[in-house]
Amino acid sequence: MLARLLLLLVLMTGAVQAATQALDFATFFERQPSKMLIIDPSSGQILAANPAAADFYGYTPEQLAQMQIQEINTLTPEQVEDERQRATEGGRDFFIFRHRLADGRIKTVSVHSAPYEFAEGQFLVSVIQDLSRERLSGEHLWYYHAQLEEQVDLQTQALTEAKERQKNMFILALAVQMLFILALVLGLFYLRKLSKEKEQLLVQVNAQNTELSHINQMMAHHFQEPVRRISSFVGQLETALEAGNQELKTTAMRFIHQQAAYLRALLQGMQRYLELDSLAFKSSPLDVEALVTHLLSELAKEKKVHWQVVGHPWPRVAFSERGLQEVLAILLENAQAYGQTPEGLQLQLTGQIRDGYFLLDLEDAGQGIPESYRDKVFEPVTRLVPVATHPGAGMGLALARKLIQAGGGQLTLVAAKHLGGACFRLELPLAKEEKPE
Amino acid sequence: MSKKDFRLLLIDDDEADAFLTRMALEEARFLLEVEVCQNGQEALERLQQGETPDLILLDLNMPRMSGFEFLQQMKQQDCFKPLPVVVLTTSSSSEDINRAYALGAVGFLTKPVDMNDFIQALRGLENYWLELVRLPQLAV
Repeated sequence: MLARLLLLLVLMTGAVQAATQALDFATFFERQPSKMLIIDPSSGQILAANPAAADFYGYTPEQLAQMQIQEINTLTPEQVEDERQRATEGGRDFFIFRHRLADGRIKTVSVHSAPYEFAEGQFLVSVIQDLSRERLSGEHLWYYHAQLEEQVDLQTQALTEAKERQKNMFILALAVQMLFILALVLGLFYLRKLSKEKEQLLVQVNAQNTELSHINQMMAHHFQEPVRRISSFVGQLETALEAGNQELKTTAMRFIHQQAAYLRALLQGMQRYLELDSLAFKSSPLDVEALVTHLLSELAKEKKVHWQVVGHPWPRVAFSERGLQEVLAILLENAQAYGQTPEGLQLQLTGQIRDGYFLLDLEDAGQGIPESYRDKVFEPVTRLVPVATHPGAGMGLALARKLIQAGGGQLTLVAAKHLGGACFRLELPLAKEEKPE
Repeated sequence: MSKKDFRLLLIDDDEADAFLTRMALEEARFLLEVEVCQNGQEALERLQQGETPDLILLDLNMPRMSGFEFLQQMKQQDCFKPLPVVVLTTSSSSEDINRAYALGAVGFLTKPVDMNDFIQALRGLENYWLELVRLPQLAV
């Protein structure tokens, strides 16, 4: 290091005769216990560091000779300039800086600098004193020390705040972006929901259109027929009255009454069928077994009825009592009309739970309904026997199915298992308390 | 063919309609032998038994097997395919008319409300089927 410094000094002076002077300075520089740096003032390049400085900063002298003073001084060039001005204004011959050591620690130091000129060259010799270790007694030094630290702290705080602001901005931007994405996802879900609702509405509209078309067809057939027959028999009645034909008169009157009754039943059934579309059902926990038993007991007061209940106790269902009563009345009426045996009406009622529904099979011992008609019988104005045999408009089962469906259930015809007749299956939603948790 | 030999099968579920048609046929002095079946199933069974009619008057709206179902099943059997079927119904919808002809009906007659009109219509049928055209001779 000494040789390097010598060479440096010789080169800078450019004169061999100055070598003796340089050797004296180099020896002084190397042996000096104070921390010293030789710096190029124009670039800040550290040209040389003595062992005391190297020991203080934690670098080797060679490492320091590769560094610039700005790498050690933590102040910005503007802050350094401020400090220089303060030093000038205060008549100080030293500066107070904060220097960073090799291990990252920051030390507050006083720097005494003096320019030296050799021939055409000029460099700065700085003596550094560690103020952190040696408590300064002079109030003016502590004042500047405090000022400097305050500035550094302010700068650090500003930097931290800037970083915090940047971080907050980033988080905010991220949050906005996430909100945007969330809004997009929600929008997408909403669109899908709307699309599903639209599809459901279309299905409903199509179903209603089909039903309207069916009703229109029924109007063409089923409403015109009784009206035409009544008109025809009124004509026959007139003829009979004119001719005094008692037999024709009686026959005409019988058919007029029959057709009028059919027309009345048809109108009532159709009215009820259509009003079910706009009817709101109130479901409440309902004891089906009690309701069925009550209806059968009432029927048994007038008719010969035998029934057997299987699979009880039955659970409670969530259904409208009035609605279910109407359905059961239709099914029992149907059973009376078509399910009679010489021994009277025999019924078996079997209950079971499946997939959140209570399945009630109501089976009679009559002739039953062929499999090919099991769906057709639920269409409005469908009859499997002539009006003369069993009066009625053929609306009962269509009404019953629509009522059950309106309450979230289903009504179907299934194969009879016990008595061999017709077997209607009611699927009724279980009451909340009956559903397994 | 004389009127005496002419056999007509009326397929109609409704007692009142069957009564009115019979009465109109009598008034029209159409024929002597009229058989009535209450639905398509019964009519098919009757045909299978061997007594084939010369003309079938078919209602459309009937329980169990409808007029259309009867027509479809009857025309699927070669031995009954030539049998002329005239639809006699309340309907006047074009859908029903087209479907009936597509299934093999040879005529479509909407039942008139007025008995005299009904009688006139049946007389028209008589003129056509008994006087003008030759009917198929079925060997069953």
